[in-house]
Amino acid sequence: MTSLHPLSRRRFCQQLLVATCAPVLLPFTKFETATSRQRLRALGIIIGSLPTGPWNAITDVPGVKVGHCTRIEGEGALQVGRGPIRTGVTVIMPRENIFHENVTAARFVLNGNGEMTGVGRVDQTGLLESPIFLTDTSNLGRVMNGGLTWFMQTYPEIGDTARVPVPVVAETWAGFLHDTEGRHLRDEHVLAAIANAKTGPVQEGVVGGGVGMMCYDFKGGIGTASRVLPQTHGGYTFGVLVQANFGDREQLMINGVPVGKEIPDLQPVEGKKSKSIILIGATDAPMIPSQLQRLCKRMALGLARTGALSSHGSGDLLLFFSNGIVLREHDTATDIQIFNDEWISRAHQAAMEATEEAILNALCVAETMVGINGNTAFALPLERLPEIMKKYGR
Amino acid sequence: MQAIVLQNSITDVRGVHFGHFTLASGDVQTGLTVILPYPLAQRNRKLFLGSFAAGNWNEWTGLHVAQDFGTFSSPIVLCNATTVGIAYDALITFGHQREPGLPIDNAWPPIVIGLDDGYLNDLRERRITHDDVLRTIQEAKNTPMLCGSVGIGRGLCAFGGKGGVGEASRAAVIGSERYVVGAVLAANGGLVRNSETSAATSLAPSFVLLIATDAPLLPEALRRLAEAGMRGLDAFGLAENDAQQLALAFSTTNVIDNAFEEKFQLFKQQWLTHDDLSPLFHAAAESVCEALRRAVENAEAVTGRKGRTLAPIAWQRIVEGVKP
Repeated sequence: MTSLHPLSRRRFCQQLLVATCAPVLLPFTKFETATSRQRLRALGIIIGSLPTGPWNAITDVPGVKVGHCTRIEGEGALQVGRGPIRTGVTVIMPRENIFHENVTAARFVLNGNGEMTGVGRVDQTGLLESPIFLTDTSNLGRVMNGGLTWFMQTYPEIGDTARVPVPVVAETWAGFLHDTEGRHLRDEHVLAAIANAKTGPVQEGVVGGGVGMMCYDFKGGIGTASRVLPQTHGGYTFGVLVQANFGDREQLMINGVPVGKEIPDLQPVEGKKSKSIILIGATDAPMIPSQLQRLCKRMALGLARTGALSSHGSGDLLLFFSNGIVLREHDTATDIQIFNDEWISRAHQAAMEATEEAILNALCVAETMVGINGNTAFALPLERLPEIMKKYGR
Repeated sequence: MQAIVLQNSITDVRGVHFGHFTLASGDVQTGLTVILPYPLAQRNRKLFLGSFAAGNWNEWTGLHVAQDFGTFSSPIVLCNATTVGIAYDALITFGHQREPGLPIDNAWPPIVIGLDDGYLNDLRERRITHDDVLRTIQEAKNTPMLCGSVGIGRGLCAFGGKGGVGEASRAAVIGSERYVVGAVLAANGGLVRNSETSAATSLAPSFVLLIATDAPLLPEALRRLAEAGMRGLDAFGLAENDAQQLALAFSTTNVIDNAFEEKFQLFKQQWLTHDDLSPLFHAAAESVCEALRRAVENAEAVTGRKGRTLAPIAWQRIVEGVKP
């Protein structure tokens, strides 16, 4: 690094941040080692019947990348503006050059008590032109602004000859663990999450936007899963990624077993906190927005199978995109092929199964975390699951 | 019937406040306009809201609560397209200052609407700050607002000439009651046929209108009021490909106060069941037309990005120029 050119300096700082944002390197208070956590499937609990993709993640959909930037710093009493910090940002990149090569998308609101920006364009055109960012509620404006910084750096024509996009940013509430008022995210964290975005296995649990989240009164966070349709149905992949922050303990169901009722202990100190989940679906099946909106509703059914009732305080917002249809700007007309509705039920099954498993993966992978004022979110005790499942004949 | 002296302002609807912030410096010609649905001192209040959108995409934050529950409690901020995140963040601060948990009856979720003022304003310079937004909210007034090239109107471009922001109000009599309907319009689109004016246009032309009323309307009727207000613009031939039109309408009368109290309660409301709500709809359409006229007539010439200058365009020319 010999040049002192401001751009290269910025890039240098960005790379530093990428390095420091690797969540596994960060020290934080936890009760178990990372190796004691496993994904649901590794515990022998299989949701549904369709096979998963190679990584059982949203990144199994070709072209989709996921990146995280995680901030876990400090402990003890809340000092607004100083911490403890328990937040981050997760980004889903639907494909390369998304601003000029849009993919189809649709959204659905199961319960509106939340925020997902940038959906006006999705509603009016059925197209997605932005990466999808997930973060905590108070950081939403910061992440919008950071997303816009990325857009303007990547596309110098924005604000000059190209109109200004609105980044898609969704949130859930981190107030039990995080110094929400202090926010603690800036442009560089958003840029770091994007720089970290890659295909392959996805880190889950206490990572990115999921750091401060609670699920069924256990530690929640990011989870993902995928399903692959039979070759008779085109062999397409359906992936789901969730930021899970919802549910009351007694509601939790795992593969039809009322696990939550069987684990009444390990409760967080109950404060007034919202309960929300953001669900993002992806597929390479060529689907138009009306089909994708139907898949959103099947993600809602997958959510229901984990026991959720979508409570009033919950922002349960869903978005599904397909990068199997790509529309390039300025093309007059584009020939597309679309999925046959008469064969779509398998896709419904895929969306529902992947959603149920993604939520449970978030629970299974997330580790116990201590946040502001010593507030403790306990991890789902995996060692108790075999006996509970056995009790219900599973 | 109450005698109300109207000042042709959205602030004729009692409780409604507005704030302008204007930033005019070289290539930066932009601003903010903020509408407060009720005074700052009022806490834990939800109002009902309806929305109507037409044309191309219409981005506004806070729409999930507004559309699913039909309520809102946030100041409404109109700003340029690259300030949306900053304005949102300022409203998060505003919300935290009111109540750390950001409940939906105490200013969350923020409602921010972005407009493209890039013809005159360098959008890549994000010069409006978090503190500018907060201060504009805190200094909001309930007097008639300045119209034209102020606030969000500073960099706007309409009908090939200088656009702007305008407001107006009208009374509407339903049964034995007299209600007030007020509108604010940000004019940032439109074409004049066979005109000698420049082909100046925003990359994302838009008309954003906010309608306030003291008529006790619930979300369904407010959506119709928003649509009626937008229909007021139909006379100006706004069916451009890229034109965004977004209308939000809210009522200050049917309020939900202290919904988070730890006791079961029902909320007294009035449902305006009169067969004919047309006077309200006409009042909305007329207010919007009048707000457009005042936005354009009060606009002053502005020179901004790339040395471009937009001069005011005569109202009569617009009226003549949009005829088929």
